[in-house]
Amino acid sequence: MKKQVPAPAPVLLNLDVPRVITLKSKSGEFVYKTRRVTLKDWEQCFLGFIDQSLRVDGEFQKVYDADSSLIELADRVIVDCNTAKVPFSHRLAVGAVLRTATPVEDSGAEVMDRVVIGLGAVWPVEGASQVFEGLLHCFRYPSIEDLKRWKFENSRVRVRGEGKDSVSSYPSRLAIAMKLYDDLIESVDGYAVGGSPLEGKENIVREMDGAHKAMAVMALFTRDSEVDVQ
Amino acid sequence: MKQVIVRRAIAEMFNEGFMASEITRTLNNTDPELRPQAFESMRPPRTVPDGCFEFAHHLIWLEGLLEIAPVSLTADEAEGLMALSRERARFRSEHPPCVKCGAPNEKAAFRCRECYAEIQKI
Repeated sequence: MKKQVPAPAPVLLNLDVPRVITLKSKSGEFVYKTRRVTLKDWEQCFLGFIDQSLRVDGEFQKVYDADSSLIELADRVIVDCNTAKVPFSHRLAVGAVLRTATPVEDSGAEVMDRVVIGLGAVWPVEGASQVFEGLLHCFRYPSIEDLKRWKFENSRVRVRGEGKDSVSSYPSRLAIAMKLYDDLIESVDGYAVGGSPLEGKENIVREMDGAHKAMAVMALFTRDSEVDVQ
Repeated sequence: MKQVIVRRAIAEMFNEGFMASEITRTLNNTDPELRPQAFESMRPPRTVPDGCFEFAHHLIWLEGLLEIAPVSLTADEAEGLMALSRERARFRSEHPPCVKCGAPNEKAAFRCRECYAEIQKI
């Protein structure tokens, strides 16, 4: 079935507006103000994700931990809150909210030599969570070299030990995706900086949120082919 | 990743592929709940970390890509592709194909493990 380009967001998502995250629990309402999450913060966060396969005396174990890194991210970016001590679960929740960006269903419409990926995101502004949909990322069509780079970077696993007692640390796909975004992006729709729509490749590369960059490229390389077989 | 480890991973990957059809047949006749344990007991032991197989799979993909388009290679990929070619030649010499169905067999086998045809010894 031919994929449709999602409708652009009716309201622009302001990337440079401080995010205020409100968490409600039985003990009250907790408000966390965060500074803007920089690309360096995201890179550090994604590189901190642990994805390992272990063999201990031949026994296979899979280890995946993104939570610790999200907690560290929250610790770095929370600048103000209405509680003396931030509970562990809230730090994780803040990190998870900051990371929220998901490809819209059936994303990846191909228009001429471009691929349009649509994202949805929760972006808390002024304490109220706003759901944004139709955040469009328009990529140039990935070349063979781009695809090869994606595959190569993902296959670069760090290993230690021998077969029976070994550790394999898989690279962070999100960190790789974030790097590739800058080469592939052409334009975006639905975002704003300083109240004006985000335009121009240079501006997009500099201003776009790291989590959105990563999710858009992940969706780009994992989308279903659009070729119709009749 | 060290080339010696990559080479071993490729050799073990070929061996796993060789055993795959036999293992699948056995697993199909095994209680679904016991399949994970059965698989672990039947699979050839890995002497290199699991992550090395990721790169070996990348080399297989890359080899296919190079048949249809020229792409630039990193030093690791070039060395890996040479190791893949050497290990494939070694595997083929140790596992000659059945003349009838083409399935690889042990060098000492008298009958094909897939179609049971007699293997002609030269």
